[in-house]
Amino acid sequence: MEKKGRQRIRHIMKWNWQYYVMLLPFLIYYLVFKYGPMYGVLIAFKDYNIPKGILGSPWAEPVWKHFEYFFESPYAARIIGNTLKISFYKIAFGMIPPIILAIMINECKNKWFRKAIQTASYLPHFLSWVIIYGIMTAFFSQTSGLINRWLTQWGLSSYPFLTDPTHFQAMIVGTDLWKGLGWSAIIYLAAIAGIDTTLYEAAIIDGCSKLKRIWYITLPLLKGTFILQLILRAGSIMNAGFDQIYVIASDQVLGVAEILDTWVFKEGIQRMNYSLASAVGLLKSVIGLVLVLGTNKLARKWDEGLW
Amino acid sequence: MAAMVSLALVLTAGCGSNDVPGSTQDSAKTTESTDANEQDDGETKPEAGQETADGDVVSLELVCGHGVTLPEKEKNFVEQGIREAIGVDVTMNIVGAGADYATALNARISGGDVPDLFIAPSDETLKQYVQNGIVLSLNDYLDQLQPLVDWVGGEEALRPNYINGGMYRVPRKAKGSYSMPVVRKDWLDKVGAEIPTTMEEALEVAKKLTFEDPDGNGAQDTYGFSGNGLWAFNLILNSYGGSVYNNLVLDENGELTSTLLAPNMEAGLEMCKRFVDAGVVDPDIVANSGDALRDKMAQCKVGMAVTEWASVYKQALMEQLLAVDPDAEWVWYAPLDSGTGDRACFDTINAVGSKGEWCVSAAVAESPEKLEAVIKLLNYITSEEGEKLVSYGVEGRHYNVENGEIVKTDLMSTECDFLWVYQMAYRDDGVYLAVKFPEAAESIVFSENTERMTAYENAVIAPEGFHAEDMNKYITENMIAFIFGTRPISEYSQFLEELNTSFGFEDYMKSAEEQLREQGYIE
Repeated sequence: MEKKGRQRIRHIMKWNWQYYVMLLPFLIYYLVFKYGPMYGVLIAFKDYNIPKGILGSPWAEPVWKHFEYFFESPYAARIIGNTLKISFYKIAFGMIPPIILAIMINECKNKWFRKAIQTASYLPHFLSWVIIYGIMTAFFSQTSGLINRWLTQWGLSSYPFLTDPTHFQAMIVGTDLWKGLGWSAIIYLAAIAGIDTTLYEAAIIDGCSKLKRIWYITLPLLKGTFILQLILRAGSIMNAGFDQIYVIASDQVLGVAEILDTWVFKEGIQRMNYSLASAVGLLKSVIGLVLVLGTNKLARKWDEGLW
Repeated sequence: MAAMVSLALVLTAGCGSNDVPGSTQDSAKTTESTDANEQDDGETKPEAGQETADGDVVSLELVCGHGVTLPEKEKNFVEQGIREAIGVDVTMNIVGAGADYATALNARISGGDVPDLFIAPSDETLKQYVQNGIVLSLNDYLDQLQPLVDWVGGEEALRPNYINGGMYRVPRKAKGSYSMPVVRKDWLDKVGAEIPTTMEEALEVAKKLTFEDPDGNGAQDTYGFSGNGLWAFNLILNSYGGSVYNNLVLDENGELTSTLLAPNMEAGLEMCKRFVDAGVVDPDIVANSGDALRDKMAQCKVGMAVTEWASVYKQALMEQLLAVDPDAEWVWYAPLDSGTGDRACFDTINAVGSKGEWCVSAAVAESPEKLEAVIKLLNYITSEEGEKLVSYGVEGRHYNVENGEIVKTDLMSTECDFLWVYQMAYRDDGVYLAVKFPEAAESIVFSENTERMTAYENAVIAPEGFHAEDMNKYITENMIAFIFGTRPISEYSQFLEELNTSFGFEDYMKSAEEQLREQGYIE
């Protein structure tokens, strides 16, 4: 039985060897740049010493020392909490709007207008967070921002959008949504374009209104794409957006904005606690992996799994 | 993350060798012009492998993160002066500033490319360097560095530079405090207020300067109270015996205590919060950097500012401040009385000298001529001749000596802005300031005579396993929370309890007391 299987594989490989050759560079890429450096996670269990190198550094005593230190520090709960909260909000508030936008763009009959809206909506995706932070300050800064200037001109008091911890997570989620909305809509637009038009024609003949067609045809057929997106985002739930938060969070709001990645960066690169930073980074990756596997398993129950 | 770090290592190892002018290449290029190098104290025996074409010049790379622009190498009269005097080719490289500097430097160091001399980004990183054996303890070379040691104030002044028993920082002369509060006198006159002397008066003045339109433009766009970061609130807290930091001070009985434990600390925080609640505090106060505050002052957005004389009264800066409103009149005032019986004071001075900024790469010790070059350099910049070079520039061009006193020329104001970067062991500050900024003389005297807290933490070496920087970060976060009302001040005692359980604050205090007693600072 086993022999037969192996023979079959050899047979397949022989006949399709061109494909395997084409695959080779990518396999090498992953081995060299993704799997190779992974031996570096060793430093999470060592007292890393730069001149001694990764292998030469002594083991931490006990080996879970750095994990222990992290969990005993007052930061652990808060940083993990912030990470999960911000990710959860980003998923909760960021999953539906792209679908709505995609449907709206799709239903738009004027072709020129449609193209213009689509282009304008995905443009922010290409801006870096540094630029977006500049735009945010121009609008939201309490002393010089446009919105606060309006507020004060109307006799209202100004509001610290960028420095008030109570609403800062909303700022994070809001700007992230603004930046990614049009871009995320593209995938749904593609999915909508793939829907068999005869379904709509049949529905029109049966007397379905536009809303009913969206409700009974478009949305159910977008379910697969939606679940795929959900799995991908659930896998990265521990990544709440390093570049965004590193750029826009000031000390005043760090209590609600510090996430695992920013903390790891500051701890590891800026303060040189490589071992501690790696321990936390590793922890994060393991949880992320479990989440991807978990959501995929869940999704397979609805026949929508990634693999 | 691990992948990220490793990648960073690979990248920096790759970049480092390209970015940094190779020492051999550099010395070969520059030796031609240095035959004027007649210093015969150097018995430098160039060894095989060290390619010094004429056998005289050793290169040293210095790295720091100060925000200045250096002149080009050929026009850098300090580096040229050093080379002519001691035959050492010094190259200063500035790599980023602030947190960027830490990132850039650490990435480079992790790649195994350690500059010969560099500024440690923070106490915590320096501790890491020490643990990793990257920096050199200067203990063994103290006898060779005697001129430097004498200059900074003798053996006692070296204390703040010790970590785990080794002197890893290049010692420096003590730095005084420049800080002072200033207020717009012309605005005070406009809204009918006096220069405040008490906290309550200051709050009233701040309210008037915020809500009574002192700039007369019809819009409510001014803030009564601003400053550079959270530190500005020390104008309030210090007069309550407290501080936003963990400063070690002596109470009236001469017992060691922390400002965090001051009996009136909570009252001080309440006062800070009253300022915030009144809406008179610049909302960006915590995020303000030096320039941001000065910009706001120049744009007529700020009435009272907690700053330094050096950011206000230097001629060039004063011109900036007056650019928008030439009638602006900034006056300084004394620390405020809190009414609690605590001494009115503002900011701290160190009882035990300043911590050095610079440290020396451990690799330097492996090359005898580099080591000698470092020692020569440090002794030179603290010698009479060298100090003049790094403080005032070139005689005849940037200054003249008249009757034994140094008198600056116009070129000093335009060409010498970057000199302080080379003052690795600081400078004779009193003389220096008098020469460089005669226009600010009065404010300097006022700042010198301002009542300060005397702080002892520089003499204390954190006990093993104590994470000082983590604790300080936690303190800062909570101070922000208390002052801006995100954590009720009634939880202050709970906060102190957290410092104990999470960071071992009490153990730190005990250790501090022992150390200070050992050194004879307390009875």
